[in-house]
This record gives sequence, C-alpha cells and structure tokens, in this order.
Amino acid sequence: MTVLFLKELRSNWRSFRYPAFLLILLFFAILDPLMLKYMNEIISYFATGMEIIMPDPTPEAAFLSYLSDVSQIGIMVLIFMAMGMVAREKENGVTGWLLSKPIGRWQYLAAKLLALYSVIIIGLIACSALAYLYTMSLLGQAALNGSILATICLLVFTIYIATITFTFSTLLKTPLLAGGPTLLLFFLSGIINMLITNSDAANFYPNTLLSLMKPLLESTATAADLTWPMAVTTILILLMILLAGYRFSKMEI
Amino acid sequence: MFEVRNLSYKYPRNREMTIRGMNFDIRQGEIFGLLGPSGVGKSTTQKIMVKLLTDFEGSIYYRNRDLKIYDKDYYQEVGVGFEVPVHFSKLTAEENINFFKKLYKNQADTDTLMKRLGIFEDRKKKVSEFSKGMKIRLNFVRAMLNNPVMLFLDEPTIGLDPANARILKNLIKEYREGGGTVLLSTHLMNDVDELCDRVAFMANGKIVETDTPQSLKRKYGESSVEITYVKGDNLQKKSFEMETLSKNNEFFELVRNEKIVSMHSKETTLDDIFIKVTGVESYA
Ligand SMILES: Nc1ncnc2c1ncn2[C@@H]1O[C@H](COP(=O)(O)OP(=O)(O)O)[C@@H](O)[C@H]1O
Ligand SMILES: [Mg+2]
Repeated sequence: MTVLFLKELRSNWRSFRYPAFLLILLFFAILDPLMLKYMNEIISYFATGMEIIMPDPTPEAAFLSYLSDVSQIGIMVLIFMAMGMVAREKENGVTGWLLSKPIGRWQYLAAKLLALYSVIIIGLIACSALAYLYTMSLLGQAALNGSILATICLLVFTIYIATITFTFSTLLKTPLLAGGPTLLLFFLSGIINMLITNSDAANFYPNTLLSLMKPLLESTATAADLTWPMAVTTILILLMILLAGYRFSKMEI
Repeated sequence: MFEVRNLSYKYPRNREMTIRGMNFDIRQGEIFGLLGPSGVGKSTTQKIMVKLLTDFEGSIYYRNRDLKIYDKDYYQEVGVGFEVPVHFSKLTAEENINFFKKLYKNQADTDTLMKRLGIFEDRKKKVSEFSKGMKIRLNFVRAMLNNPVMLFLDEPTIGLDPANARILKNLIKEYREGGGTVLLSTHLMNDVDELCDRVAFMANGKIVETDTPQSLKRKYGESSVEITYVKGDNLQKKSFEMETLSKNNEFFELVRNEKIVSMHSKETTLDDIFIKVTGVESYA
C-alpha cells in the first residue's frame, strides 16, 4: 500500500501532473491579491480622462478572488490532471500488470485516491495560507474565521470534483472518455447552481459550498449554514468511491 | 500444477466466444507451450489464469484448489510476464524493480538477472529512454522478482535480437532446472523446439493437439528424401518416402541413371505440424 502510494506520487510528480496543478494554485495565490491592490491604478492608467469611481479593494475581496479562480480554473486543471489516473493505466496495461502482483483491487484504487487527495489538501491549504498572508501584507487582514471556513468549502468541493473524475476514470476506458463527462458535469452543475441558488434545494446541493464562500468571508453566513451542503457532498463522495470500487472489483482487466 | 477443464470465455464487449472449451494440464516442473496463430486466444488464456479476467466458465485448479478461492497471495507464488512490456516510464529501471520487489516475501537476486540480460549498466536510466529490446528484458526481470514457483510468459522472445533471445531462453531453461514450472505462449516454433517439454496447439479457441514435441513429430512425421536431378536442360525434383526407401525401385533407378544435383532428407518440423493442426501458416 505504501509502495503503491509512493509510486503514485513519484510518477505523477515526474510526469508534471501534480506540479501543474500546484503551480496554478500558486499563480492565483500570488497574482490575485496583487491584481486587486493595483486594479484601480491599472484601470485609471488605461482610461485616462475618464473619472471612474471604484471602491477601495478589501482584503476579503482579494482572498475571495483567489478562491473563486481556483474553484474554476484550478478545478479544470485538476480534471485534466486526474482524468487518466485509472483509465490511462487500464489503457496501457499497467493496471493489469499491477494487479498481477500481490495487490488487491481496492488497494490499487485506494492508493491512487489517497495520493490525489493528499496533493489537493496539502496544496490548497498551503496556497490559501500564502494567499491570505500575501493579501494581509498588501491590503490588510481578511476575517480569519471566514477565510478558514471559505477555504474548507473550496477544499471539500475540490475533493468532490476530484472524486467524480476518479470515478469516471475508473469506470470508463480512456482518459478522454473520463475527462469529457466530468467537465460537462462540472459546467452543468455550475449552471444548475445559478438556477436554484435562492431556492431551498440549494441547501442540498454541493455547489452551494462555493456560493457560500462570499457570505462566509463577509460574515453574513456562519458555519451552521454549511451543515447540509457539507453532509450531502460528503455522502456523494463516499457513494462515488463505493461505486467505483465495486465496479472495479468485478471488472475484466 | 494446473488442471483446466472446459474453459470458455467471452469478452464483455464481444459477441463471439474467444475461448470455447479448453482442456489441459500443466505438470510441475515442465515448460508447457501454448501455441497457435495470432488472435487465437493465447494471451486471453494467460490472463484468465492470472485472474485478470475472472468471468470465465469451466474450472481451473491450481495445486488442487479452485483458482477462484485464491486471493492476492496467489501472486506471491507466480510470476507474470505480459506480452506487451508495461513499465512506469517516469521511473528508472531500478525503481521499477525495487518498488515492486517490496511487495514480495520472497525476493530474487535481480542484480544478477539484470547483469546477465545486459541491462544492469542502464539501471539508473528512466525506462522511457530504454529501447524496445531493453524493455522486454526488463519485463522478464520483473516477472522473476519473487522467485516464482510458476511463471507465465507470453511471447517472451518477440522483439529480441538472436543473442539476447539466446540468453533469455537459457534463463528460462535454468529456471526449469531449478524446479520452476512455465506456461509459455508463442507462435515461434524455434523457441518451442528448444524449450518446451509439452505443447498444446490452439485453433478456434480450443486445444486441438497436446503432446511432447518429439511424439508430435513422430505422429505427423513423414520424413522424405528429395532429389534434384538434371533432365535435358531442366532441373527436376522428386520426393521419396524415407520409410520405404530401401524397397523403392524408382529411387534406385533414378540414382543409378540420372545426373543428381542434390539430395536432401526432410524431417517434419514443428512448423509443418503447426500448419497442419491449426490450418494457419506460422511466421517463424
Ligand atoms: N480486451 C479485449 N476485448 C475484446 N476482445 C479482445 C480483447 N483482447 C483480445 N480480444 C480478442 O480476443 C481474441 C484473442 O486474442 P489474444 O488472446 O490476444 O490472442 P493471441 O494472444 O493468441 O494472439 C482476438 O480475436 C482479439 O481480438
Ligand atoms: Mg498474444
């Protein structure tokens, strides 16, 4: 198990998949606070002669801009990074080879999932801390409680999308076959979220975790508002893992 | 070692059965050759026997126990070399070996193996920089990681130059001398002649003939003598059966009266038998 986990980390690191994802996080952590700080200067530089009244940037807005960039572009990079995690190995025969070693099928999947989750968790927490501190040095301190809660929302949502990618990658034959539906689902769930955002259904919808990031930062929402969307998302994650594992345990490799 | 009875298999996506009722035994300590034209189902049979394809019909017994009962400990005992060598190309050859060696209780002396196969010097290179032949040799080392008691080899010499194929065949023979059992599938009859104690020919998803290479040659053997001689301005050929040669007057007449250019004895090769029993030309 440890062997598999380490192999997974090492080969994904060397193939530049994990670094690509981490670099994107780092990019937004550094760029977004900077952009917000100098937004007014930049705009007035290009729009000389016009008088544009912009509110001064708040640290909360800067941190939120980092979080939402990650929740869109970061997650898309994640999907590209993870869509082949099982499908690619099934396609090129690595899965068959590994499973002809003393490695159980659940073990094989678990090692992969753990490696992916650890990179997401460590990467997100580290980059969010960086973005927070960097924002603080440029614009002042954002509300700490809200920032932590909003980061947790993003983290759980990212893991949710990662699990969808993983499940499709396990069930389908090629990386592209797995990536396509995941991306589609990701966009579609974003659209559905906009439609139901003010209804009661939103409480039971994973994307609500993202919608709550702003109110959490602005202290207009509290941890209690997270209970349902968090519970639903966690259950969905577990169900998908079970589905992937069950189907994989019976799969003809 | 193995008893396979009425084995049938259909790939989930296919309509036709690939394996249609195979019966054979593999005895402890032998090299058992599974022969047949490409696409007949040799690799499929191997994959069933290493439990990658599990939805088969019929029964397979390994060491007198149903294969289905074995869990992942089965793989502590067997070594598997797939047809297409798969490696982690981002890892070095050494990592490819050492990573996976840790999975086993019983570990082989892979340095010696790598030295014999001539890839020891390159062990720190990433496998993506390996040539095809080097990957094939590395693939063999990885099948031997655990000093297996049973070795599955699927076309192990395909893609190797003659010198390396020679080394590999010697290693396979040594493995048997050390008490190992091998299931070897191939369509190269040279390998078979040299390595296999018994062979099974496959055609249409079934086994159509099982025996030792020697008795197959005897059974299908029609040794003959072919004579080329000058007739007018042309060369002519004529064949005579070896068995009845001493009573064949036509043969003696010819030898006495014609100008002979050459005289060859022809024994049946496994190639001939292959064509006869499978109905397909092998391309040795
Ligand atoms: N994964 C698969 N899905 C569907 N059909 C397959 C698959 N693998 C092999 N086949 C088919 O099964 C038959 C036997 O293939 P294989 O066992 O590889 O033959 P061999 O090893 O004797 O060359 C072929 O007709 C091939 O097309
Ligand atoms: Mg084959």
